[in-house]
Amino acid sequence: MKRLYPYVLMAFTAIHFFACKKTVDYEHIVQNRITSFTVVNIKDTVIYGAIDNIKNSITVYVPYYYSLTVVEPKIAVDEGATLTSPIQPVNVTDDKQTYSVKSSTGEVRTYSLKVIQQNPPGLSLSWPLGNNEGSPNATQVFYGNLRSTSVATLDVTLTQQATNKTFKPDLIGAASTLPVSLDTYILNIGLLPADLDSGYYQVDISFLGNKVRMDKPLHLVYIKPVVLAKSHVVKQGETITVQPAQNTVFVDLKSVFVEVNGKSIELPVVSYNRLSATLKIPDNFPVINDAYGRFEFNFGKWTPVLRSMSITVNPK
Amino acid sequence: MNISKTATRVFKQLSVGLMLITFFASCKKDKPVATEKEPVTSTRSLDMVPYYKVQRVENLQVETDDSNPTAPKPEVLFSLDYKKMQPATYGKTSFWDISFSGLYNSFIGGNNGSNSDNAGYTGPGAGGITILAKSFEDLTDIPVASAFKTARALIGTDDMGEFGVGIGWYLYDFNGSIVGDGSYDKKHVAYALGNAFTLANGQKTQPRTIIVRTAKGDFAKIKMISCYKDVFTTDKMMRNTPHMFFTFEYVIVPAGSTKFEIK
Repeated sequence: MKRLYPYVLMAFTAIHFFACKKTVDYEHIVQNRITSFTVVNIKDTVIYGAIDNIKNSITVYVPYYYSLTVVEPKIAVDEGATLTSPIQPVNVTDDKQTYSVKSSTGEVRTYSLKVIQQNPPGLSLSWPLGNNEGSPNATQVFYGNLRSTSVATLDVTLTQQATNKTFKPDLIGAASTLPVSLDTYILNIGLLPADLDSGYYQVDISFLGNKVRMDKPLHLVYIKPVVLAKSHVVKQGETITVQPAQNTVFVDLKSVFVEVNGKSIELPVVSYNRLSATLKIPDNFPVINDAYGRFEFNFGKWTPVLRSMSITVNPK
Repeated sequence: MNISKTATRVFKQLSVGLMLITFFASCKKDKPVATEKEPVTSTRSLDMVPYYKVQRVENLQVETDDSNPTAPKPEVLFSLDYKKMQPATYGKTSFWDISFSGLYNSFIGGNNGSNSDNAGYTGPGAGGITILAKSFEDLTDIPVASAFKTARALIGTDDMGEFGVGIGWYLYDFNGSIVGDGSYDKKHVAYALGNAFTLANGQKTQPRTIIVRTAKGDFAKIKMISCYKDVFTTDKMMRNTPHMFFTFEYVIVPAGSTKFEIK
């Protein structure tokens, strides 16, 4: 037995030294992370988003001078993971965007996106040539050092001084900025609402995180309407419609006449609003084909508005 | 001596005990800890149309105003990848491939971020556009890069009709006598040249096919079929047929391809 001890000791010593090292097993990391987020709709460079896997957020800082309206993300995820929805451009003002990543084993992690616009320190705007007069349905512009051609962050509020009611021009698709020199841009806020009453309106403009109240209120006035020319093909007893040209609206439409073959015929006004008028072609209107009628529109106290338009009137 | 023996015995027993503990407490061989691999990104998502498959778009409506036809309308952006119109706010993104602009929004251009005369200027678009006098089916070779132009509104009226600007995708019949019989209804009609048809003088037109390098660098060929609502043959295209409703077919092949294949 005594002789066996050294061998037993040697055997266990060998086992001891050849036993594996003990390693601490890490907690399993679920492979459902966004590993990179880049904004790629900038020429020759990208913006990296900061990914926080504790708060599950992505923060993207967008300098104003890129004039971005939307950010186009390129997203990489863990191996085997997938985004649960397609990647689409995101408006820089959108604070509801989320991305869900599903691991190959089914666990889902949802990130929220924060787009933070890095803005210039201030905003100064002025009336074009000092003129603060405008009209309903007319384009309104301002001058200033805007530093960006993107209107994604533009917001405009008009407050009628007489009633304190507020109005917002429809900026979608209409608003724009146009650089005319290094430090001067034209800010076009699009058409002023056609249904605005004449009077004075305080103008508050928010752009790139800065707010300005214009030094003088907008003085809204009606100008003499202009009727858009168009061809009319109609039957006796039916109606035609006419619209005002941009910059004008129909106000106080009293009567409409058309002169055909040397004879003036009244077209009764069936209805009208600021942007349209419906006129009746009398039952006894002469049948004519592609004739040029000389139309006369009488609005309020303005001198008659004259417009020649092609008109075809077929029998009933 | 007894003390020495006792110590030796205790030492031996302790040694054996220690070895047994070491033996049983020694760990199992661990599996290797997973190492993180390089991330992978999908380059073509499921909501994109597949490569090599012919797509058809019918009656894609763009804004027009016959009473004021020369007034410019908002440029319309269309994604071949996603087969849908895109909002104007997507201008500086790669989410559109062709645009419709100019008179009646009838001139087509690509998406290119380098050309200041392009809605995609300063964006990531790598696109361009060209057109060849070949049928959609016969056009298989993708032109060299220099053939693709990058401005907006490049492909429109064809020299076979009035106001042509080179090879275009449509023939404009001002007097109604190039294609039609000169009647009122056949005046001011625009005939898409994707398919061949016979002119009033008996000659047959040569079809045109537009080739687009998409915003992401793939290639597409497009057959323009009509700009009239629900009308796809020249005999039914009339002056007052509702317009502009674009109908066209196209196929996309991946960047780097030299041939258009349809599978």
